[in-house]
Amino acid sequence: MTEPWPSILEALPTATCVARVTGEFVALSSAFARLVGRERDELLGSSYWDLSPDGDRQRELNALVSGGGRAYEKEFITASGARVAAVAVGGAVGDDELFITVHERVVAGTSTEAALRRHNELLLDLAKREEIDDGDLDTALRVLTEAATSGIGCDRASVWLYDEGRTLIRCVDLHEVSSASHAAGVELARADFPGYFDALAESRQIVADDAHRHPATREFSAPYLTPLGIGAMLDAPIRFHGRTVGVLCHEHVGPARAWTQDEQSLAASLADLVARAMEARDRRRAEDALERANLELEARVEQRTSELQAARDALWGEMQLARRIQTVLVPPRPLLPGFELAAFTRPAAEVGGDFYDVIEAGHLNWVVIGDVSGHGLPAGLVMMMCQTAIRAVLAANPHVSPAELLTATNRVLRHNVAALGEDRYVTISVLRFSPDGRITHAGMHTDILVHRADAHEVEVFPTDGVFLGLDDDIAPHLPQSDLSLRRDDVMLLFTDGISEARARNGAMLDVTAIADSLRQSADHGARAVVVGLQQMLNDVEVHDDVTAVAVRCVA
Amino acid sequence: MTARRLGELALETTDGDAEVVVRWLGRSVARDADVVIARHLDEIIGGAGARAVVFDFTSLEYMNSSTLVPIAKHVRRAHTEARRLVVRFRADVSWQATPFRMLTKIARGEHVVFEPVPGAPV
Repeated sequence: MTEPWPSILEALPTATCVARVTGEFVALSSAFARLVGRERDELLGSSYWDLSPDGDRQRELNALVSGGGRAYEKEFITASGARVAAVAVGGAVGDDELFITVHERVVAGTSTEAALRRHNELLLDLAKREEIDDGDLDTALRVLTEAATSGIGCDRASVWLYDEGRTLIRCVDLHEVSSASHAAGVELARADFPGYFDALAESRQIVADDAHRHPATREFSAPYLTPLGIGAMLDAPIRFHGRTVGVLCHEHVGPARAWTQDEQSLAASLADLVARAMEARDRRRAEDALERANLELEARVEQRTSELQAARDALWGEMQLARRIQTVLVPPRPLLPGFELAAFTRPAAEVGGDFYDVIEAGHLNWVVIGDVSGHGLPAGLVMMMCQTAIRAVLAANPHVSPAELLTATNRVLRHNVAALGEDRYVTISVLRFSPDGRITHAGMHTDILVHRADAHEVEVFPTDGVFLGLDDDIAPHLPQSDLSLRRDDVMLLFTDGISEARARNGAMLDVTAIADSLRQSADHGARAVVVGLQQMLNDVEVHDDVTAVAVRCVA
Repeated sequence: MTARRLGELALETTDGDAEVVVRWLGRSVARDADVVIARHLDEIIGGAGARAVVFDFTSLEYMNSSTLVPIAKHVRRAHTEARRLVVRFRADVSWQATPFRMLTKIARGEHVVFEPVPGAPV
């Protein structure tokens, strides 16, 4: 069957060919070779299907085999990559050959059903491509420029974007079919091509069938179109966030070309996809920035947490030190010969300034109760200074009077507190227990309460003097007073944390309430007095350190 | 008249030609009263210029021992700087009488005057 075809077809004036089902040309007319823009001999060594767009092959094969004799639309791919639309007719010859003749070449500038279908399939395919939406703009542009050359049927497709000042456009991807390559980086300045930039500014497609003559593209003729052999341009503006940011450029290598409406529509759709890819890039950037910000925030939070932990540890160390000072100053098992003694001290949430001490010096016994103004470590330090000074003075001179003891202690405190740069005062009572039963006291502090066992009454002994730390020399202002306890009498010393505690109705306990508590518990001993006070404090709001010392005469 | 609210405490200031009267009202119970109150007293006394300043505690419901720190500081400063300061307090209330009588010992003089008011209404 093959032998007669070459001589018959060669002479035919119509564009006709015979090819095997597999595509190999058996024979063709010169008119067919001209139609597809190739040499006849070149075609004889190639495949018919290479001249058809991928999506059209099976459809055409079906039309030829099962619908023989019926005309159908198709496209041929020319040597320059351009598409030639045509109406063909043909059928199967024998078992494995196809006879095709081009009945009519479609007039340039009009669309074919096949082209429309192919463009739709292309767009559908692109819509599914992950590269368009994953935020990698370079990859997306490569996909889109390849789709543009394939879909439009041109040799070159490129994406150009404005610079910030819109004074030039820069090629960010160019796909060239003939060299199967991608390139980028070329810049075109507005100053060199004002007509083209003005046309772009109008945000309409530039449809230059003859690029050398079109008003928008003729500026490119000598420097660009001629060297590259470009005859037609189809440029679709890329609109992004409401403004034109660039152009998708299709360049036909060869003579002038009439762009079909469908090709123009496809170009616009592809330009929209470029914008979609840019949107994805921005979204990706925003996500990356957010992720970086989150990581930075996490790092900062971690660092800040670490700093806070360090600060907390340091503060905790300070608080621990201050609490230790307070603990160290509390006598562990205070003994007062001839007396039963019970005491308690309870710091507030923060370290306060309460303290008490029981000291034996030179056969004399002393009880000290005091309160440093303020709280925290400075108050704790002043408290320690005060206790140290008192013990040092008593060690040096056990027979010193209470007033002399406070005067000497004040001198040390004034010097050291001033050195600390602090304003601290100490309210304090020092009581010296003499062997004859006399108790001599000095210092300005809360009242001293004494429960008289025989009368079952509480006697109030106001204190007098001045605070320590208030003046350099307080000796003139430190009177001494005496009191004495008889058997079973109970003396109660306390700090203002107790008298300033508030009942639920907001009223402070004051001395009367403390005296009532003393009266109720004194018959049961010093321990009972302290326990009674603690129970009373359980029912009120305590905002300060509280300290109490109860002394019961048992001799 | 201006009033400064510091928690449960209020400092009510009345400016006169010859003196600035600071009435202490409510309750002064902050543990860090020295810090809270000191700045306001500095401003009031600084604004008084050469006029006498009167600290009137007769309507105060209560003050804790920490409150005495800034008061004592200003009493001593007035004494040292020879500025006229009048401290008006209730002689019949122990939490006022006791500390202010103590301050009397260290600062009474020509410029600092203590005025115990017996039985003033609270």
